Amino acid sequence: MIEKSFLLDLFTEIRADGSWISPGLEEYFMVLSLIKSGKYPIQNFSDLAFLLETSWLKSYEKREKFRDLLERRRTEILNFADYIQELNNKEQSFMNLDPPMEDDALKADENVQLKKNINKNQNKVDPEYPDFQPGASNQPIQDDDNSDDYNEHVEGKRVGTSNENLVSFIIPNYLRLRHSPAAERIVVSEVYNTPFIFTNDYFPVKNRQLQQLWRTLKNKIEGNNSMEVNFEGTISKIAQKGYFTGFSFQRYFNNRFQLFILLDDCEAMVGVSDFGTELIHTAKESQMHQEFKPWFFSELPTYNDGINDYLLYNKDRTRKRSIRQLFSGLVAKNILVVIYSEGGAFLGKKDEVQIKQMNKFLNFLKRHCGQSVWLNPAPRERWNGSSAGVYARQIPMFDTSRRDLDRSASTLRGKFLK
Amino acid sequence: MKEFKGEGLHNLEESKKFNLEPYLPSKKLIEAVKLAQLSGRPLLVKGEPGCGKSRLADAVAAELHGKNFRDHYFEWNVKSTSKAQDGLFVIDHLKRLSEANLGKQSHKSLNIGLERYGDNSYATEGDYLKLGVLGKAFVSSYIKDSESPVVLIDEIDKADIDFPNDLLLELDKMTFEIPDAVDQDGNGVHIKANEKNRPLFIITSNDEKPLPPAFLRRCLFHYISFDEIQIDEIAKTRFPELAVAPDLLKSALDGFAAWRAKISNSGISSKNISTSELLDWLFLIVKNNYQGEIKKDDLPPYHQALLKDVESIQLFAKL
Repeated sequence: MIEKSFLLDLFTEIRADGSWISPGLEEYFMVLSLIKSGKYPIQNFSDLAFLLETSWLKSYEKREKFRDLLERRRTEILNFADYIQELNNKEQSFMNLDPPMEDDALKADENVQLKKNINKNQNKVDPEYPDFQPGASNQPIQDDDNSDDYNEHVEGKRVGTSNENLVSFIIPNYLRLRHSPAAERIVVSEVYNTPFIFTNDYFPVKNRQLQQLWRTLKNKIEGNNSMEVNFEGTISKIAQKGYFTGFSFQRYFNNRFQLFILLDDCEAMVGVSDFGTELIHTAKESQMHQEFKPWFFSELPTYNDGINDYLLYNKDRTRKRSIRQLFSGLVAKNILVVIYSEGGAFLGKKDEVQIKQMNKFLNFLKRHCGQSVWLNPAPRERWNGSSAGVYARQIPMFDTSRRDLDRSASTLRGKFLK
Repeated sequence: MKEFKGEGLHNLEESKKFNLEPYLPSKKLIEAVKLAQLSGRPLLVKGEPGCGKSRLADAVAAELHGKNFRDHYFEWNVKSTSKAQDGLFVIDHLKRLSEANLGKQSHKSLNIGLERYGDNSYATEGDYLKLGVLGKAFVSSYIKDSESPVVLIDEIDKADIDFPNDLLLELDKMTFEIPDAVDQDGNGVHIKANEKNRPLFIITSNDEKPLPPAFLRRCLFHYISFDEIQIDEIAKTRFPELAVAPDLLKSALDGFAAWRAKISNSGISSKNISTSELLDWLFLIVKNNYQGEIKKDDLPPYHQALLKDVESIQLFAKL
């Protein structure tokens, strides 16, 4: 009996990578039972890879990384395919099945035809994934249509069985050939990145998406004193009784999380200040943070030596507040802070003095709030070599793409993603 | 179980029988649907707007069920105000209240009722109660000698973030109860799909909002990438007139590919041209019997069908 991992190592690695939604045990067993049932024929590595991708991957953006991982785990996957084959052979001997049919190696003239088809199909190969093709249909290989739609020359034994419950699929010889990956290499193609656009009309994310983002930052708690009319409950009560007897009430819910957005309004942020305004506007519109107010600083919050605190200003600079004042009366773990600043990335600035002071501020924040994140409007590739790259090591920093904004919300909720 | 092979609407003649347009799914998409049928899991389909996500479901239904596919096909176009319960059942409280107050039904009980049939299925409409899309699909899974019903939940990301989570149990176990409702024997109403003929769910999303992980885990996932779409075949199938004008077709498709690449590379527009725009554009070309030249570097003729924002038009107008 060959010990096999049943793809468990692969599954464990996929789950350990926190950058995507992990499949659960149910999904794992679903894949195993699909393979075991034989209803989805596996003829090569690509078939199995497609099955795993469709069942376990939930995001298009992570596709390249997932395929890369499958490629690295090729040996394990092929071992598993071998195991299935072995299992079939064992079950056959127990069940006293009909002898297997002769090899289905194509005859010489069919071989020539196949090669012609392959040549004809060359320019039809998917440019993005030249050898990554889904499995063939479960038609037997002796079909009249001998053209190989998937540019693969399949030779194998047909495993015949009179018991339809047993696995019954063609097991190609080259599943055992681990030293010929060339035909089945998955090509990892480059992902094209759209550059950011910062105009008044087109933000990197939509208004609705931002509102939704803020709405996910909720930790509802019943308000102690106020009640509000529960309209649905009232109508339901009327319908049950057949007449109006009175209103139904429910407790008013507060959001336990307190959101603070600190915006940098230095000169470098002029071009992207509208997006900052949009962040504020959508946070208010989301109805989860109605009492929230934005606060501003310029490059770095001002440190007040006398009170060992940092000062922030309102937009017009007519009022100032210290951070301790803002956070007073609030439970630290419920305080969420979002910093919106380019951190020197636009100008490629790396000021050591400023870095030291900002790091001190970030440590101060860590001690006084629950979670904090930094949203940087500059593209990620500009961070290294500037102060932003240094800050990114102190505080989770995200760009303003849709994906990163979602990740920042997850971080604020306490879920840390790699 | 009849497997989907993508051949039901593969030409104009066949598709006209169903009063649908031809639909040519890619091999990968066919395999994904097959996996969904075999595993009994919903299939979540994403892709660019206009790539054919929503059409997949009726193509699957037409192939599996033939001419009467509409009896086995259920469509739910989700809106931002949609609630999960709307897909299960709707109780007409106002009608009940009104009848109670007006005394019209004084000889009849005001119970919310749904007739139950012998094989655990129910009627789709009862007293003050109507089953929603999912309820109807579950009930229709008991129709004898029929394939699985097909359910399309279109643009699920439009709804509130709680919407997918509210459907977890129903998508997983394919069962739900209707509180306060009774059948003809006075028993509670418990709607459950036929285990041997579970409905096939096809869920589409435009990726405008993230979907909850618990929901995503339960779905199979397929992204219709533009490269897997057989543009050439689709154009020839939809417009046989172009099949006999190969030069015009070639220049149209070459132009389309070039404009698409240009819009993508420029990054100035968030909406690139896709299959649906191509087909609208080809329709105008065929309808107007366009005989002129189509140049890759010029503004396309009938650009109104292709280019949907000012930036894209300006991009080509500058050339």
